[in-house]
Amino acid sequence: MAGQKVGEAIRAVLEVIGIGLKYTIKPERLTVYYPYEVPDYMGRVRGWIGLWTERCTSCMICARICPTNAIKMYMEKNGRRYPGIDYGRCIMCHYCIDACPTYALYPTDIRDLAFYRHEDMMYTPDIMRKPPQVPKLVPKVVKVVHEYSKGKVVKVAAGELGEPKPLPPAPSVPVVES
Amino acid sequence: MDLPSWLLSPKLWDFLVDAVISMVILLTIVWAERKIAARVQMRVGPYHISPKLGGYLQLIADAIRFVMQEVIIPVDANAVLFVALPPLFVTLALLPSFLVPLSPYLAVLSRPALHYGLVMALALLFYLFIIVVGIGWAVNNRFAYIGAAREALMITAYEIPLLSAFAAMFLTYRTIDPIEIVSKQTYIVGAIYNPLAFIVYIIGVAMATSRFPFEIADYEGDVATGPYSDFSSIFLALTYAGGIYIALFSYSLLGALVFLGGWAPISPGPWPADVIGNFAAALWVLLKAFILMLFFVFLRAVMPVARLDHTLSFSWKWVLALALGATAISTVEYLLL
Ligand code: SF4
Ligand code: SF4
Repeated sequence: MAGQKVGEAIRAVLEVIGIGLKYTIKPERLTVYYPYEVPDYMGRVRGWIGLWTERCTSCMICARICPTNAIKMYMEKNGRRYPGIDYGRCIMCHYCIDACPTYALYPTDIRDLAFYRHEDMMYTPDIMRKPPQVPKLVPKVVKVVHEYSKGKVVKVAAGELGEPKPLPPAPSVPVVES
Repeated sequence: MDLPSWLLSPKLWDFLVDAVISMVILLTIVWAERKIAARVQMRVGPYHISPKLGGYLQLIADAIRFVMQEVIIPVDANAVLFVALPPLFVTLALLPSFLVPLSPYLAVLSRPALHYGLVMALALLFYLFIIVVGIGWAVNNRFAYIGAAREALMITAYEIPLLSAFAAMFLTYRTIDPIEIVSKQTYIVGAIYNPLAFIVYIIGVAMATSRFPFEIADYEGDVATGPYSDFSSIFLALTYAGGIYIALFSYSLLGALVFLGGWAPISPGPWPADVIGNFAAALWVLLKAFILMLFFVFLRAVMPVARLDHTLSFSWKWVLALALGATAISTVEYLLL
């Protein structure tokens, strides 16, 4: 109240009540009823990172570029080191993918990453070779698109979630024998 | 076959209507508060318990959880007061609603006592928040002390304006008899007779029942639910979660009678002859009380929390001045009408 004109204060109170009433009558909800609905990120959100160990030259550029130090190099049976990602630290910036000189790391559409235990977040190279299985929690999942046109939030159900997209084909670069 | 006479007693029916409908209103109002706040904040609110009813049964689920919880009495607390005050709180909060009539013939009190029903209800409601201070004292925890001290400061800040708002209305109507008060509002309701008094009433009740922006005594961000810190299980349900809403109901019922015209313009005939008319009048009053409560809980969605010193200076400077203005208007009306 201090330093505020009485008229201003009264107008502010009336205004805020008006706004509240507007939203009470016509709510603009952002809520997505996960897992019944899954937001459609339309390619704008990066996902789980896969690894082709055949392509990896163990150069460690990915581990060094990672801003959160999420990548650790694991010694495998063949005596070489391959990267493994700790998803507890990874911020999905995909710098590692950009930096990898041999395209050994590749991006995927898998964004439903949830873990029961902290240890499950540690992905070792052998786990990173195959994409994680996203469990089906409910029989029918609907993909939802948010439209922010004209300052309004419009939820558009974009049909049922189809099968996950097939993994991208490996780019043709020489493969290093492992 | 004749019905036994006690079955037709207006006292019994007033009691039943008030008790049952107040509980239904309570259930609805808590649900509505959560839903309204969620809508304004772009959320959904209670949903997963009974999604077909929009989460309406959430409160029952919460109540079951409260009752199932272990009763914990802190070692340092004053055990007797700790156990005795929450039930007393709810009783004192609900009692005022039984002291006022719901229609000219539906009332728990009979004539000479009913005359003073409104004043008795007000007196009880003003005692109520002294119990809150007692609760804070009994808990023996510094947050509860702070909350109780804040509540004590707030009591002094809202009681005088609230009391003068009601007193002004009594002056306007030249009576304290609730039935006569309602009969004087057949054409013009009290809120139009004296709008200043109505505004003071709204602000005062918002302060008294810790509605936003005056959720100061028990604001979780500051004092960990204030006087109710350390209360858990059924005790928390009786005070913080239930008692305050019941007090809000009682205040709203008084407000519906004094400021919103009570059962006017419905004027039912004598009780056993005109059962439907009397019930309609009672429901009309309770609907008005419900709408008042809806407004009070709506404030949660849009208001920030005020600081204690701001609230006190606001109350002593502006609300008191408004209350004096309301009294002046009523004095003029007393002399002219
Ligand atoms: S996506 Fe970014 S944070 Fe995650 S492992 Fe790669 S570089 Fe590190
Ligand atoms: S994944 Fe790529 S960047 Fe990382 S060590 Fe292997 S080749 Fe190097």
